[in-house]
Amino acid sequence: MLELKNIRKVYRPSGKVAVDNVSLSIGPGEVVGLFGENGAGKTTLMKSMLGLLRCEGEITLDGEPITTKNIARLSFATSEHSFFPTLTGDAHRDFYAEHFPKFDGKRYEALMEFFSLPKNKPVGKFSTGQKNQFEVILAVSQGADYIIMDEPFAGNDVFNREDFYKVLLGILRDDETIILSTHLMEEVEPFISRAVLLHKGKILGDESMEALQDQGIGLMDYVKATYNYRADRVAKALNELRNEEG
Amino acid sequence: MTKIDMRRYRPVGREDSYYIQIGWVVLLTALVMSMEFFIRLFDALDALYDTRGFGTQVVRTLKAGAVMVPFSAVVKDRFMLVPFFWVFMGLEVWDCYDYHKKATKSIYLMRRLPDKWELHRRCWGRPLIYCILSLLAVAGMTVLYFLAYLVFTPWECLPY
Repeated sequence: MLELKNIRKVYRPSGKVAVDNVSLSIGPGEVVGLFGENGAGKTTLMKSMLGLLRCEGEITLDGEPITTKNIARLSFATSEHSFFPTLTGDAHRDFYAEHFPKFDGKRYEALMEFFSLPKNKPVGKFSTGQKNQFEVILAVSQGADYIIMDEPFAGNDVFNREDFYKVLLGILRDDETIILSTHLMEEVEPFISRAVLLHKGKILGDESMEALQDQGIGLMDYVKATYNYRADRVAKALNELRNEEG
Repeated sequence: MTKIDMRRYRPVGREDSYYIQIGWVVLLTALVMSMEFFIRLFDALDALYDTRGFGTQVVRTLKAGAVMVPFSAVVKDRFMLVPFFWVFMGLEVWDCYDYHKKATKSIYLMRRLPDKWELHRRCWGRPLIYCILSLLAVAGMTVLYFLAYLVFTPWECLPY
């Protein structure tokens, strides 16, 4: 269980509160969609989970603070990319295998094969879509229990993304957890088991997809309702503009 | 003897930066320039003698009670360029950390490795090893210069 208690992150010197008193428990096997507008605090929250950013509050993994002893249980795929551009795919495999004892070489090979990624070409020379795929392949092959993905498919075409979601869910073990931040809500709706909505650093909504289905509402409707989205907002604004012009 | 794999002491996928290359040129220049020691040594030795005559007729006689300039004064400032090498090694360390934030954010991977020293070893390792090697080179050459000082200086003129 990954537990966040009263997480608060203030960026200095601006004083901007990026994450404000967030508490969250994420259990094994969940596929959690983390949604929110730009600047809602999704990336900050994810980086805090990984210890990449210092924050107030407590983050534990099965009751233990996250240290070098258990950090390998978390992996990270980011749209910023965390691989080494001059290194080939296979050199990355060797590096991961050396540092992450549970690195799954078979999964790595299978995914590289499936996405037809060259193994002996420097990753920096891949297309943007291939780079994203490679970033995710490393994250899911690391052997982590909690796979954190921050906008992993920004720049990939829709077919490619669709393939990836399916393959991803097909290969994951039951106890592997995904925490996925994305703006592509409708696309990931069939694949996630829980939706967490962030707004201005706070959790605005946290609902399982099963509960939403029981209530007969889709993810988009839930998000719009939670954010108090006014569908008539655009029409009203246009009308006002037209009246002003008239 | 176990061979040290120097690749483990440089950032993953990075070749030597120009800081290392310039650093080596600076160090070599510094060591070559330190050989000016011999010019100082022979000037100091000359001062111990009275010289009469010209050309092949030169006669050199040791001045009565002449004392050689201390070794520390002869060798002084001879390695003054070496600290510049250390400055370049410092820049190399900074550049190594910066490398992990350029092009991609491999810093995220390095900072979440179970071995928390991996990143620091790769950034500090080579510059530190090279600084130690430069100190050894300075020490080795100082010993060499001291031996030359002892060999060339007349026994009775040694200040020790």
